[in-house]
Amino acid sequence: MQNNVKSIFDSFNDYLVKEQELRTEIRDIVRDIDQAAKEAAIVLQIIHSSMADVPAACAKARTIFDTCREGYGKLATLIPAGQYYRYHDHWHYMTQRIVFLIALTIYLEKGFLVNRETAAEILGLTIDQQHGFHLDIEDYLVGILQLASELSRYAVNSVILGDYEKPLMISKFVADLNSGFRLLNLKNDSLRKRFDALKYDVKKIEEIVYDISIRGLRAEGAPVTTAPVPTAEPAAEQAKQT
Amino acid sequence: SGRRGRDQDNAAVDENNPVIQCFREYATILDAKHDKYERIVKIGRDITIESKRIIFLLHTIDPRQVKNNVRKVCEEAKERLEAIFRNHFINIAKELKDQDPYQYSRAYTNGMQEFIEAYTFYEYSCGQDISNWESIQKKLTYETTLQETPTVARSMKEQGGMEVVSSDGGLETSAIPTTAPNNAEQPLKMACLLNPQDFVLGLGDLSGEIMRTCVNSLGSGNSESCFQHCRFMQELYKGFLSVTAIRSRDFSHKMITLRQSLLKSENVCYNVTVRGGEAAKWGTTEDAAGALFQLQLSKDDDDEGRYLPIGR
Repeated sequence: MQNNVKSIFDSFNDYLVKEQELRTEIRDIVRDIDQAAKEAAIVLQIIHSSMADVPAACAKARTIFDTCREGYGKLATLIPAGQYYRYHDHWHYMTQRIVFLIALTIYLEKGFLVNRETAAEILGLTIDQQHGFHLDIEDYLVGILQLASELSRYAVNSVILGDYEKPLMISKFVADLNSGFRLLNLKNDSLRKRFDALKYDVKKIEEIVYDISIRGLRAEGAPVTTAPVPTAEPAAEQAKQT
Repeated sequence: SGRRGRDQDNAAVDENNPVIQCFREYATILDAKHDKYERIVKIGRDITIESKRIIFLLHTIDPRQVKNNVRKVCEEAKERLEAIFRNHFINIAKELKDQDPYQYSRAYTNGMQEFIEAYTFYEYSCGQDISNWESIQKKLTYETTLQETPTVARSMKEQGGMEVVSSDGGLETSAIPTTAPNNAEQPLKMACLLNPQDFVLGLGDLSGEIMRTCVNSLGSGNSESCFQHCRFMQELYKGFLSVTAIRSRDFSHKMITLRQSLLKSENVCYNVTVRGGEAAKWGTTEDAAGALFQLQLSKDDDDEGRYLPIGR
């Protein structure tokens, strides 16, 4: 009786071996894309030390994104339809980082937030999983949160480099991001954890704006349009003290 | 929700802001995803409960009585297992329609494992060969008949409606008319994915039930069958040993439990051999090793939730 136990495990092992082979192929491609992304990250580091070189760095980053796009094309042909999330763990960190790099590049070039659709387009991905290899929404959102951290560092360094206007722009931008994220109902997952760190970036940037404002370093005509958050906070604090 | 109280007071969200508009869209997508996940979790929990009850039912098989008991219990178990296919898994399949099933597989993995345990235990107890996962996967694949299409179409429309809010109606034209004619012409196929890994982990759980059956048949004086149960578990253990390329922590956990169950049944068979069926029954409860053995048995009962069918 029960002679089929062996055959069950044999076919299970076959299944695992096939999966393993595919994973190895995926890993190779992912490594190449990751390597390219690292280059883009290094190129973009120039923003913290030289304002003049920013446009060139963005252009260079753009060419690297094309390389990434090719890599994603290869991944897309490798992954069977409807199994994106079976192998998702191989590329989701990488994708988050690349989204961050794209968002940073576009912010530096144009000053606005790249939406999910555009980010996907740059990587040759779709946004709808039914239409093929797509950009997962949570990967996109985590990438955007990484942008906020980088911008808080950028704000510090732009002050060092003598640009007192940048922090104000960054502050407005990050405040928008913050109110955007507050519209989401986040579950208690990694995205939520990452979002919880956003407030420290917001705070850091607000402090820079404060330092600049209090010393009159802002350009004369600068509009007083800092987000409602910084004005609300001291008021609440005063109320507590009295 | 509560923790969001603060944003509601400064609800001065600028709806014209493009960032806000984007995030409204993302919020709808995320909510739809989370809702679907939660619905599947709920179905999975129901499957777990019913599977545990079926396992409990199967333990009432007593071959000492007139043969009636075995056949009656098997029939009832079979009927209830079929009902799970009809009532529960089909709903998961509906939820997974047009989705990447792996995205939601964690939502029902526990239910699936428990179900596999119940299903294979049913097959084992009623004298059939254990199914391979492919044949169970086949039973988890549904073709909607004409009667069922209205409900499917409705749930599709709900989904479509959510997405339509964000994209400018483009989805509405693409999603609904293309599926509607399909419904009429050919039956829609949908499936609840059975991950082979879940299947094997379910088999691991099965070992615990077989061990219990082995001990029970010793208690009821049916000591010859102990050897059969024991041989099956050795076979199962061999199968688990042959698995190498798996990346799962659960698997090695199951492996340890399986080994313990195997040792227990081997010990039972040993006692039967050395002392004969009747003496072994007393022996296991009286000597020190036996007492410890009983203690472990009662500890194991907790995680099976046999006496608390609602479970964790």
